[in-house]
Parts: sequence; structure tokens; C-alpha cells
Amino acid sequence: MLSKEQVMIRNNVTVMGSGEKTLMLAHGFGCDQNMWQYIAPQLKERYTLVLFDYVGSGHSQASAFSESRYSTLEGYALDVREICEALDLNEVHFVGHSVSCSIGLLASIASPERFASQVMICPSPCFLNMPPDYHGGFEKKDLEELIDLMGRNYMGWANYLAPLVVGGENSSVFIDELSSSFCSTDPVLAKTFAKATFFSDYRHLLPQAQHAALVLQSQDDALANPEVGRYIHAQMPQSTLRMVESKGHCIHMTHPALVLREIHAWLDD
Amino acid sequence: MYTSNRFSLDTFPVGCMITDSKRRILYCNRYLEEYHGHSTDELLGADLFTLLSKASQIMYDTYLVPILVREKKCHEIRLCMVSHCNTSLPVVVSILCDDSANGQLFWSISSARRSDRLFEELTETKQLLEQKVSLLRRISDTDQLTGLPNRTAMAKHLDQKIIEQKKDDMAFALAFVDLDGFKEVNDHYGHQMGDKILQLVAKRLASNLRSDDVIARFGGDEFVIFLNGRFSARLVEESLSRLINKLAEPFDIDSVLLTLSASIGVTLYPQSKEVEADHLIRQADQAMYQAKLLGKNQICLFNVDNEHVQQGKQSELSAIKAAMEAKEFELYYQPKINMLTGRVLGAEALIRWNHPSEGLKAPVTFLPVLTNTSTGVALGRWVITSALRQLQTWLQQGLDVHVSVNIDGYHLQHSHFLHDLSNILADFPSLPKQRLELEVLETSTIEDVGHVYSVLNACRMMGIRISLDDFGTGYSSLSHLRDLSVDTLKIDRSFVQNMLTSTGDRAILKGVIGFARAFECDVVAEGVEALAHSQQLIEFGCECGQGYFIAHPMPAQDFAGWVDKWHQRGFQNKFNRDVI
Repeated sequence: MLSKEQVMIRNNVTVMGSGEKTLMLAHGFGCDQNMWQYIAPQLKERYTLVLFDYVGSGHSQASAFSESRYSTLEGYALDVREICEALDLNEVHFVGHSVSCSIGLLASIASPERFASQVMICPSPCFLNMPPDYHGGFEKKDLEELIDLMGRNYMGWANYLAPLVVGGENSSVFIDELSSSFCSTDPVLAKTFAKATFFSDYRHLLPQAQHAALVLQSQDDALANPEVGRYIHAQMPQSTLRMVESKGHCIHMTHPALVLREIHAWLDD
Repeated sequence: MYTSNRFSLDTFPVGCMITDSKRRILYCNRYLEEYHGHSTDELLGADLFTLLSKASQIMYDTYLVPILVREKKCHEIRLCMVSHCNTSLPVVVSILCDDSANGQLFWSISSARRSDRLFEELTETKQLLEQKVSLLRRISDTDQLTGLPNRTAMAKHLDQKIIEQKKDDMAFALAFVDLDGFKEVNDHYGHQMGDKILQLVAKRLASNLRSDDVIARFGGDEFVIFLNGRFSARLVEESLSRLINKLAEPFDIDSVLLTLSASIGVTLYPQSKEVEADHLIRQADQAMYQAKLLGKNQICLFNVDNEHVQQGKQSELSAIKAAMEAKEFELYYQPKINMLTGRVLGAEALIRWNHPSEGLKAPVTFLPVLTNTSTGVALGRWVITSALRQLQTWLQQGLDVHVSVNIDGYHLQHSHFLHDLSNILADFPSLPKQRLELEVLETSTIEDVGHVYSVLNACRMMGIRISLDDFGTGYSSLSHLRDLSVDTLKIDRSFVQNMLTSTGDRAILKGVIGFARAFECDVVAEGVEALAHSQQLIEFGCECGQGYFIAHPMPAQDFAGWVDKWHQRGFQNKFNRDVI
């Protein structure tokens, strides 16, 4: 088992604020804990915040990456559970964005004693269309194109060829260059996260939820359309659906005031 | 001077677009309109996402928006637009976010054809590189002649298996195979034929292994076989015997039928102590060498218990090697004289080790460990070379002597002995070869007597003199004399030392001297330590001797001075006679 220090370093864990209630803020695909910077200053006035980066994102420890562990969301949920254990967190209100809502759900079903509630910002348990009953928004070819696009956007000779030249699966040797810019992630690791995120289907988890959940649904969100929000609400016991007057998927960045208001209201309740 | 208000953005050969924070398109220039086929009227006020593919929408929401919110710009992002007729248009976009204009986004959009071509080329290059890398890895792991894995590949395989063993408790045997007499085959039929044989041997060995066994060629006629599974000594011997038997079946090469045998050393894994791959290979190699010494064409199991003895031996050998490099060895010379006439005949070269901390060491303290080792052979070569160099110096100085050197049986049996000796002699072209005498210890372990006889006879053909050292102490003295032509018999010191008191030893002495006469060879007595010894030896018919009474072994530089003194008065003082 990893020590507290090891977990703190591995997931670049940041703890701020000193409120009685503990909020764990979990970023979604494509970014890192920096995406919370528009609501974290206000939240920490009232709550204890635990921020972190999943292994493979932000300033996490790339050497801790393992293809097998992180090719499904269960691996990321293990990160969450290990952070809770390392910091001995209890009664955690898990605030997840996008795919992190499924990760939070996995973690809270596996370790229910650690959690108190879920705040799900733009969640989607499955991005694929599963006709006739479920419309995740995307066909498989769309998501394959996404993986291809990601490859093309990380087109640097060194990064592209380094794994071949160093001859191993050790990606930590070529991560340094990328990690200095905002939301940058190692291409290999990002692709793994993308595949785990976009090709999975965790709808079956929804009925198993053991905690109350706030579902914040952006009014216009191509990634998680309102139909998905309604589906979640219908499937998940103890869930509350709130439509937020916003456009886009990263509403905690683009509409921080709206999101803050909803979170405060949820936690005050 | 141009001013911006005189020119429209429509004139620029790049797509320009403005969107607002709600993703609405506020402006498109003509280039963009022509590029994607939508009319400006259709686009103004429309959702940006009508222009983007689904994948690009995800990129926008998950990747671009966070960057734009924080950094206000992003450069050269590869996206995919959708044309009016629903075809896909690869584009590269750069975006600026203008907070002073309510977070409006200013886009420049250009074709990604060029960067895509570069990407395709990069992908192809990567594939090519992958192929090359895997080819290189394969080549670096393969023996070119036989196509078998090579030493590197076997070492990797063993490393891997040793790691697995720690997890799965697996076991294996490692066999080192060396063909017997392969050099002779090469010498006799040529290297081309030798290579063909090696290919056939490799094929035959490989085809008689199980699928989870691995065979590698280590170079020359050496093969190493990894036998998967847990073996007892008996089982591994049985398996390898089958292999030896298969190898013993004749090879038909270009209508020449050849029969080969092999010596195999084998070690088992795991062992009570942790061992590394290199170490296992050394163990099997040592056992193979043992199999050679025991007469070849057999299997020898490495004895792990003896290993620490071997390790001690290894460190001694390393010290000797280092001493050779540091030039700590020196030849001393013990004079041989005619005890009747006083004439100095020559000297026997005797090795000494000027040990930096232990002082002068006698050969008995370091020679035994050298038996059957390549270091021993190397030191033997050094002795011959040094003695010849010294002999040349003395002859040039006008000293009319010969020099003898001791040759161990294993050195004599070494396959390169004659070749090496010829090479050494070639460096002293003007030296009369009969001035060199090889003293062969009669009791030396000589396994292949026939071979040794042929080597010694070849030496005699070259003109080199041969003497049998310590004559009389070996069990096969007489048969040696029968089958081998030698120039000199050296009577062992033990008979000389006791000759004054033991009638038995006196009888043997007389006998040996008689043999020498009968076989028409010279006779030299060793261990002459008193005048009485020499007197009686002369009486028995042995005029030549060496020993402490005459002189102790001495450094080369003292020898000429000693000879002078000996001729002037040394002989006279000791033998009460003048030099004749």
C-alpha cells in the first residue's frame, strides 16, 4: 500500500480551505485541477477542498502510469479511493466534471463509507449512442476520429517517436516538455484516458448509486446533452436534476457563478 | 502606406471567423465561405458546431475552451470542419479571445492538407522505423551463420527466465556444447566446409529440442542450450546423451561423410544461492571444459559445491594475469655443467614471481593453479619467448650455451602449441633451434599420448631438443622411451639425493644411465648437492649435472659473470680440477 506522501505526489494532491465539509474536486478529460480555479477560491471559504490530477494528467507522476490500470475508469476510481484512504477522508462530497462523475460513482459504490454525496457537473455515463433508448451523442466513428485528432494535435517528432527510440513503455522520459503548459498531458496517457472515457458504458452503475446526487445539466452541451441528464436522473435514486442556463461543457469555467450557486445550495440543504 | 480600412478581410487567403461566447458565428470572410461552401447568410448567427465535426466539437469543449478561458489564445490546433455538402475538411485553427469584446473569439482557419501530409509521412516514417528497429533487434539477436539466437539473445532469455523464476518457481538446465576436434576439421577441409558443418550441427541440435527449449550459438563451435523444466542430474544427462548420440550420426557434406562428437557441460537452475545469467553460462562452460579434460565426447554436470574452490582459483588466476601484465615474472637460470670437464653446457630456465608484497615466489606456490588454464598456456608462451630472447642475447655476447624450458603436459597438448611455438621461433630467425631444449615433465598428465608424441616429434623435426624431466619417477617411463625419441634424460633429484646411502637408488641410477646409453641419448643428473654426488655420478657414467653444489638458479644478468668465475676458479675450487 502506498504511503500518504506517495499518493500526494502521485496525484499532485492539493488541500485547501478548512471548512467542516470536505469537497473533492475531480477534473474531467482533457485538463487537470487547474480547471477548478474559477470556483475553488469561493468554495474554500466554506469548505475543505481536495484537488488532484489523475495519473496521466496535469502534474501527476507519469511514472505511476500503467496502461492496464488506466485503460478503464476503474483505475481512475482507484486513484480517488486511494486519495481518500491516504488522507483518511470521510463524508466526502465528490464534485466531478464530465467523465469524473462516472469515476466518482465507481469510487463511491466501492467505498460508500467515504462519501456523503455527489455533485455531477455535465455528466455522461456513456458518450456513445445506444439506440433505441439512449442517445449519448456520438457514433463510434466520431470517437475514433477524436482519437485520431488527438494524435495529430500531439504531432511532435520527439514525442511521437520517443517511445520507439527509448524502446520501452516508460513514458515518463518524455513527459517533461509538455507538462509546463496549461492542461497539457502526455499524448500516450491522454489517449488512454480518452479511450477509457469515450468508449465506455457505465450506465449500469446509475441504479447502484448509494448517495444523494446533484446533476448539473448544461442547457446546451454537445458532449452531454440534456437527454443524457434526464436519463441519469431517471436511473439514479436520490438524484436531483438541475438545468443550468449555460452553453458548453465546461460550465464551471465558463459559468462559475451559476455552478457555485448550485453547489452552495446543494451543500446547505 | 496601406491602412487596414482600405482593405477587406475578404482579400486575405486565409479563413477568418469571429464567434461569441455562446458559440454563435458573427463573421466569416469570403475565403472561408468558399472553402466550406456555406454562404455567409447561412452562417451568420449559426452555431459554431454546425461547422465542426463531432470529434472537433469534443476537442473544442474539452480542450480548446479550458485553454481559451485561461490563456486567451491557442495556436495551430488541428480540427475537422464539415463542408456544405457534408464532406470533411481538415483544418488548422488559431484562436484569440478578446475579453474587451465580450469574450469574442477571432479565428484564423487554414487547410491542414500540408500538415496532414507531414503527419502521414511521419506515421509512415514511424512504421518504417518500427520495422527497422525490430529488424535491427532481430539481427543483433541472431547468429548470422546459423540463424540461431546469439549470445546476446541467450543472455536476455536467461535474464527473463531468472526474473520469471522468482514469480513462478520455474526451473531449467543450461548446457554448454563444444564440438570436439572442430579445429582439425576446419584445418583439414577449410573454413567454408567448417561453416557448412556448423550450420548442419545447429540444425540438428535445434531439431532435437523441445519447443520451449532454446539453443544459441556463442561463436566458433560453441552452442548453449536452455532446457526448460526441472531436471535431476540423471534426467539432464539422459536428455543430453540423446543429443550427443544424434550429433554422432554422420554428416553428409558435399559427399564427404563426417562424424563429430561434442563435450557438454551442464548446470541446473535454481541453485541454493542466487546466480545471474552470466554466472550460469560460466558454470556450464567450466563443466564443459571438465568434460574435455575427462576425454571429450561426454557430459559433465557442474558441481555447485566445488564452486567456491573454483572461485578461489579464479581470483588466483586473475592475480597471475595481472602479474603478467605488470611484468612481475622473471626467469632465473640454473647452470648445467659437465662435471668431468667443467664446461658450462647451458642453463635451465626457472620461473620466479617478484610478488610486490610477498617477495620472490617459487613456482610451486603458483604453478598448480595454472594447470589446464588459458593463463597457464599464456605464461608458458611467455617463458619460451623470454628464454629465447635471453639465449639470443647470450649467443650475441659469445656465450656458447643452450637453454632449456619446462613445458607442462597441458600446454603441450594445447591445440595451438605447435603453431604458437613456430610463431615465437619466427621472431628469432637467426637463432640455432638446437640451442633450445624443451623439458617435458615425465609425470605430467598426458591424456593423449599419441598426440603428444606427434607434437614432440614435430618439435624435433624443427631442430628443437627434447628432454624427459624427472626421469624415473613416472609409471610409464619405459614405454615413453620406447615410443618417443628424446635427446636427453634428466635423472630425478630424489635418486641423486639418496644415492650415497641407498643401494636401491644407486641401482636405479645405474639403470637409468644404462637406458640413456641404450637409447643413445644424453643424461643429466638433477639435485647435485655435494662433491660426492658428482664423483659417484661420473663413476656411473653420468657426466652432466646441475644442482646447488654447482650453482643456485640466478637472475639472467648474473649468469655471464658466473660463467666467467666458474671457468676461472669456481670449477677448480669445487671439483679440485681444472676446466678442460
